[in-house]
Amino acid sequence: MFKSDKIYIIIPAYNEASLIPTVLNDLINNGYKNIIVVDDGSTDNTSGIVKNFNVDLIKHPVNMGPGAAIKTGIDYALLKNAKIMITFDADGQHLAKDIPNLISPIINNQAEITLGNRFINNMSNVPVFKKIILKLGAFLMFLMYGILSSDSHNGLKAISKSAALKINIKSNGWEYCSEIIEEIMLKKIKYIEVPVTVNYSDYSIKKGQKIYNSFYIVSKMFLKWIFG
Amino acid sequence: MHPIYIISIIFIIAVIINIFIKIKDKKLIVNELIFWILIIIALILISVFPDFAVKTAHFFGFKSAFDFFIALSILVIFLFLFNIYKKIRILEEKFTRLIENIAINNSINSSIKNENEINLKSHNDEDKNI
Repeated sequence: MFKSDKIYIIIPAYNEASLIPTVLNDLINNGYKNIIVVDDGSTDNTSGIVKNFNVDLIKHPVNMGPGAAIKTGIDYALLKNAKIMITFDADGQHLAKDIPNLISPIINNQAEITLGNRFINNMSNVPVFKKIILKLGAFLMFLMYGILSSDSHNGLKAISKSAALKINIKSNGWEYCSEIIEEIMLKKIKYIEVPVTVNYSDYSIKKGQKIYNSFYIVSKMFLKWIFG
Repeated sequence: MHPIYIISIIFIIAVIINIFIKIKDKKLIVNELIFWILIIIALILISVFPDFAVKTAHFFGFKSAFDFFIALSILVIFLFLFNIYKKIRILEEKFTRLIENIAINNSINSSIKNENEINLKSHNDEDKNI
């Protein structure tokens, strides 16, 4: 059986002081002790609050974006000899109860990466317009990289050490999710999609990716696709 | 004389002055020098041989020299844009790695400091007990 002390939860956080205690309590109460919070240059008291918990805190001196925060978290977890890294949002959208299902295929050597998918079990209360944008994004990913994932921009993922060493995240922003899909395709990494619940609250909708941001992500993806 | 040739001559003089200033200040890069020399040669060719631009435009399938000039300008701007985009991406990646290293090193250093403080405290407690 896999040792739980080799499982690390990576939480990129930017100005999440109000909700991060709930997220950390949920994880700690579910028995997860290796938690890395990457404070991405927050201007509120996120770091101060995180320091009250028994977790590793890494603080970016300036705001770099979720992609850079995830990369920092993964590199730090690898230094700590992590075997599985789970990326987990700080805005309360993800639930600790989904983690066992997410890591199970990696433990059983069925996959090197598992991607959380909010559309498989339809348990998530996804706003209609967001659903349309996510589906269009997924279709675009299929056209560009040939991977048909209906939820390519879900932040809940489990990454094995072997996959983490292969994946090279270069994007600093939200487009890192697309970049991971691209890396999975290019480096032929074994992946499985796992049903997860994404909890939409007024707070998470306000904090999460904006609809207009999707156009920015698409333009950056295209630039990267064309120019490399 | 056609206005375009007057503009060309003014432009050539401006470029030559600019090159001399940069050479004097030792700020000119070889690639930049080559680029400006090519521009000067092209402008001289257009000025001395007015038909050259028209013939070249027709050779590439353009109706007029002006159309050819616009298309060529767009191409050059696009190449510059590509070059700048690449440079920004490289700089952005280097900056991200720098921030990441600073953040991780700070975190490791602070955890080592905390461990040392805890060890020192437990040492002091043991000494008190003895």
